[in-house]
Amino acid sequence: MSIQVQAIQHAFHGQTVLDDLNLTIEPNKIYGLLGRNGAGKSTLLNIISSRIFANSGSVTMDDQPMQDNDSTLGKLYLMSEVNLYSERSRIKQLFHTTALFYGDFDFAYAAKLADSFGLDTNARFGKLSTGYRTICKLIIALCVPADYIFLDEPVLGLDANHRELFYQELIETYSDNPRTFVISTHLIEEVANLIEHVFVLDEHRLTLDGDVSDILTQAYTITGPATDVIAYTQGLNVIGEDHLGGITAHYVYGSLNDDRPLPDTVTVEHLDLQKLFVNLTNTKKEAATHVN
Amino acid sequence: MQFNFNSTEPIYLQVADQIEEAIFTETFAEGEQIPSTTEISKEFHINPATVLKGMNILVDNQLIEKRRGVGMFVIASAQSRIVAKRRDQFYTDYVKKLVSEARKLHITQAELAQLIERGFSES
Amino acid sequence: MSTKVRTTTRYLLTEQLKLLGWALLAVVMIMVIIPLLFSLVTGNISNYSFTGSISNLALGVLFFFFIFIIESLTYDNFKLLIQNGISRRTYWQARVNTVVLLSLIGTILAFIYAYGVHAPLNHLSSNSILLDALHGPYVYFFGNNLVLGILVGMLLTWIFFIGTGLTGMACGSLLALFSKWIQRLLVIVVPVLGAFLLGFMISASDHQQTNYNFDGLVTVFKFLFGFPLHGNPKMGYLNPTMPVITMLIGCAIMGGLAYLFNRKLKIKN
Repeated sequence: MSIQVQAIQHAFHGQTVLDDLNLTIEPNKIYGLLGRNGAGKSTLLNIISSRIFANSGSVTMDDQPMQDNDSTLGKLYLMSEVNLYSERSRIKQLFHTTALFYGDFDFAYAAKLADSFGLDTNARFGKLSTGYRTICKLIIALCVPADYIFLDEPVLGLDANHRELFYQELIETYSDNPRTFVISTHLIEEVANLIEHVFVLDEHRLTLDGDVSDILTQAYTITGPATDVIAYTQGLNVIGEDHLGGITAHYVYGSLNDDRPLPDTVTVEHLDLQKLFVNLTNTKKEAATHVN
Repeated sequence: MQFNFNSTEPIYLQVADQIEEAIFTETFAEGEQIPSTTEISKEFHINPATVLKGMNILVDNQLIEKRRGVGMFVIASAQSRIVAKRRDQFYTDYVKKLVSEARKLHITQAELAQLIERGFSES
Repeated sequence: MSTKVRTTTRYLLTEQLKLLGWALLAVVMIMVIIPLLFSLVTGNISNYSFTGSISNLALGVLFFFFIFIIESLTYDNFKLLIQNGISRRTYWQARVNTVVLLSLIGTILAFIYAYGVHAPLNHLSSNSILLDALHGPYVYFFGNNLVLGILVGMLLTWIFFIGTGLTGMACGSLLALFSKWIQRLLVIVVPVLGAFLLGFMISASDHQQTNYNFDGLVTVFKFLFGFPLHGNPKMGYLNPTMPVITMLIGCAIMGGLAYLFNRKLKIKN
């Protein structure tokens, strides 16, 4: 039971979007899919859900190819940034249409969510603001009976209260009925503790793929006087640095050299997910301006 | 219960620490039910698996127990167990640090003893 | 037929029947109610004839345009279905099923109207309107019987509508591959070019200019539609096998093209 993405290669107008990408999405886990603008997050989700076809590579669910395959596509719901619902449709019609094609729909939960978010289900989709379109799509995503729910930018246009409500409802429905969620977002801090496993896309490749807690135990900030810090991190995987007055911080991803004595002047702390992401995905140019 | 998630300690350890602290201060009394995994997850946006990992540390340390179909409860002897543990650690966690800091500040042993006496009399 | 294909077919057919209902209502409004209002306003109510306006709606011709246009609409349903986990292949299969079913419904409606409303109100014999129709040349091939003739006519009409619907589907799927701007351009330019070409061919053949000889083309068409290559055709008694084969091959080509274009459909921003 899992979705396997193997050796996916995709180019658009001659520009590489994804390059030899491999990953596995397991049942009943909450994943974070992180990447900078244009890193290929939406393209990846679109390829997995067969909305676009990759130039090469394969996507399978339980060893069945997913390309143009109803039986696997019916177990997956992708809430995309692009609005695919007709502007003329009323919200409750959309609920019924979803029920028709997915075979079922949690109408009671949808009504409860619509009430909490203040969404009028008699309104037409086209009349909604950006935030409420997102809310409408989110409600459908949380009520559809699919094993794999992909949420591309799930909090786009949502205010802080609605985001809070969404995260709570996500955990609630996940606890009641465990299934897989893949959340693609730029608001890393808000989901950092929510996701169990993280994928980071950078430069068309997967630069990070692992359990969040495992990854964070290997991410360090080494702070202290420049010479001491440089001496200590010599040969380690330094992914970024910051300077403030005489204090230097080196960000390290990977194991530290335990044989090396830690000078009294230097402190070692763990990095949080957002800081790790920023340093991993900074381009060289941005890193240079950051230093100055 | 108050959680403070700005620290860089792994979240599951923080969950365990915070619940332990709540049992120690008797916010969760012995024999009482503590909030469910889902409740804690929802409130603090933490993955339920992470919360469960934290709770399992406390189960292993015999501070809480799972009652099937009901939830997690504080074990009768949990508070005294925490007190005993913290007494054991008091010397390394507090006294050693106190003395080391006092040395840096050139506070003599006699002066430190005086300060401790003052602390007891004022509180 | 898989459940998904059945569900999708039912969904598409329901949507299209709703539109057919609206289209019929619009036709009745335009052909019956508006002339009535017009005569009321101008005071010529005595000149208005309800039976006159209701008896000449040419439902068959209207349905021909309707099914072409309705089946050409591609992208809106595509995006809804892809959002709901329906594959392109299933969408195509369901569309073909819908064309077949909707054509049958259209055929039945057109025939009921022709023989139940149009013929009696205009005091025409069923035999004469049967022979006057596009399928007229073939209807009595299996026997000189009106009911049998009407059934043959219905069968030919049904296949013809299926072909029309599939052609609409192929055109619409092709259009859906282009951007909105190019779509508009094609929708305007292609019919204009077609009209020019047709006009040119008609005028060229009318003037019997020696430079252009359409005899070969005429022979091909005669062959494709089962007309005798030499001598006068015996109208009403021609063999329908050739036109059926021709139409079925046309259906297969259009369905195949629609399938190919359908596979290329993409989500647009």
